[in-house]
Amino acid sequence: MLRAALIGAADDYIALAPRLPHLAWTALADTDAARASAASQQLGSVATAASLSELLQNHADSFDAVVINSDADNRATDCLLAAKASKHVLVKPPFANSLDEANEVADCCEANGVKLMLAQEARFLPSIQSVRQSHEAGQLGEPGAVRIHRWDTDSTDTAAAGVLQDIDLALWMFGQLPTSVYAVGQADGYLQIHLGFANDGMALIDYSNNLPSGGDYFSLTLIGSTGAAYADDHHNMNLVYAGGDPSAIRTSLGKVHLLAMLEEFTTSITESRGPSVGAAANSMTLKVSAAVTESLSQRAAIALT
Amino acid sequence: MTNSSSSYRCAVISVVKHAYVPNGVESHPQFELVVVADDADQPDWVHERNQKYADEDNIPYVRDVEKAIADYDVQVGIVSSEAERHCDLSVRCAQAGLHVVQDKPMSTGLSECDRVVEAVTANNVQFMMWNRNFLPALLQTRDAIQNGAIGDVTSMHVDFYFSKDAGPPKGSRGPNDPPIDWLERQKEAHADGSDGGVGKKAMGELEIEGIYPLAYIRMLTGAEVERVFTRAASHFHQANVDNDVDDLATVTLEMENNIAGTLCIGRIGAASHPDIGEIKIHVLGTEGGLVISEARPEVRVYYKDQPAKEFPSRRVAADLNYLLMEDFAKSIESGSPGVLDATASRAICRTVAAAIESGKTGEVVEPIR
Repeated sequence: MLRAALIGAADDYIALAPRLPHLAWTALADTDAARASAASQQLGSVATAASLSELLQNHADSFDAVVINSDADNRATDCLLAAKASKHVLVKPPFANSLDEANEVADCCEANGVKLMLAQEARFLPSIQSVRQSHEAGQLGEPGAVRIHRWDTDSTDTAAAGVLQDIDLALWMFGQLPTSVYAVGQADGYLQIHLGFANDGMALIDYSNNLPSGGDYFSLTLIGSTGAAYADDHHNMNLVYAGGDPSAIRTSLGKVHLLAMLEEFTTSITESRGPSVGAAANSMTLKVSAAVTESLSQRAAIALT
Repeated sequence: MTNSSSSYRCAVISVVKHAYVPNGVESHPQFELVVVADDADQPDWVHERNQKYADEDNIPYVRDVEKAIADYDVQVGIVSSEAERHCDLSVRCAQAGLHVVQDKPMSTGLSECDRVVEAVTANNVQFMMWNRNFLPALLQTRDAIQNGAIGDVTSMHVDFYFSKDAGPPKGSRGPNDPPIDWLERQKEAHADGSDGGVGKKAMGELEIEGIYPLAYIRMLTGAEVERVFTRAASHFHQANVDNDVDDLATVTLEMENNIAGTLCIGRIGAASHPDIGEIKIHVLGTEGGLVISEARPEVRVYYKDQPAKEFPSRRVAADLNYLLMEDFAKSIESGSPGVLDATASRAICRTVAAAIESGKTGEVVEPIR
């Protein structure tokens, strides 16, 4: 049983506690006192602190790993603290402001013999897992195009940060870095990214974080040489009739993706192997992100080698 | 309604593809097909198809375009030839004083498009490029935008995938096999209606079908395309590989008024979709977004021994043909441009040309004004 500490907002993870056969929440740290208190009540008798630093100082023996869901600005520091204390790390992306900072975290984890995994939730969504399974089974053939739409609402992330998970998804589907990157942005939280891959593959990402409050939207399409997969919220809408035009409600995918992600983290530790979303994947994503920034600045396609 | 007393006699000026354009024209009661015509020096297969259409419609076939126009008192020319002949035939129709309905693509060369624009202007006739802008879902999208449902449009994205196969798959050519001849392949494809690229010059999906999604974007944004960036590949079909034309492409569009956009287009193979293909429109505005399936409304029908190639989803309530021709009739009577006139079609053609260039160079291209 892996003993893990929750760092930062923890509601979703705490609710999963009864369904985690190989992981137990044994500690938590949150700078938000009210949230920490509520979480502590839910979890019962666990070591609690106002910060990871304090938790390590007073309760380092009570956990073997950390799940870092703290504010973005604190994540790199938390990762380094945990790694130096020999705690395995599952961290919400983005956790670094630059590729150099991300590499520093990765190097620190490696030097201290702990696993570093990104909490890349999108990879573990049932819809994306289904697409991925068909892709891995060869049903879709050689990937030709990946098309992603993500329209967020009430997001606190910048467009550049919000789109990272979709860059990761595109790279994951192609299994390589792109050779060219072209990006178009708008001032108010909008970004579209066009990737080209060495095997003639291509990806388009349409990201917005300025949808009005309410439901968000996501779709991913993978067009392969022998098949295609369409994971589209539009296909999963039901209708509500309450006068006037009907409104649409999306069928929930639930929280099982978090279970799958935590299981992967736990298993990678017990099996002493690299996690499926490790430092290398993060490094690739950040390289593309840097090229996006450069493309926006130059208004030109950027070649990646 | 237009004035019901106005009726237009139409000459079908070559009909070598699937005949959706002349059939669409005659779906409107004001338009009557009276003759099929083509140049005498055309090859036998062209004459055979023209004659077949004329016989089916019980109208004469004349192997002289100008003579047919003069002898049959026609006011409208319907051009549905090989792509490289489109513009020349349209110019000749316009110069003879005919209004013109033309099949897509407008042309394989931008200078030919310029000739059409000049001819219809000089002869004060109307021109319509065949399009899908009046499909029910497109009209719904247009109305939603015009009614302010999502505020001002800030970006628009179209997926336009046709799932029909297009001959042998990529990689199927043997070491001693000759490359596939484009025209011969297109002639073979006539049987199943996938001969949209018929002509001597090979064309990719971007060039053959790009006008449809780009016409959507143009109608819904009202904006000109200023910059494009394209990735294109021959990913599926050996004919496209052998002739170095795309069957899959993605395009970034930068338009007037800081509107962004993207287009995904391809002939992705019958295995990739149960119906004609995934065709969707995503629109973001200052106040919200729209996600539209172009196929709707549709009905799904499944039954025992259903042919494998029959689409289980059937589009219904599409009044596209009538609405296009109603728009064209109004255009003729008012003297005002209709839904996709020569200038707009030429603008789309230049966007396509720029996109193809970008796909080959890997650079951002600004379409030639």
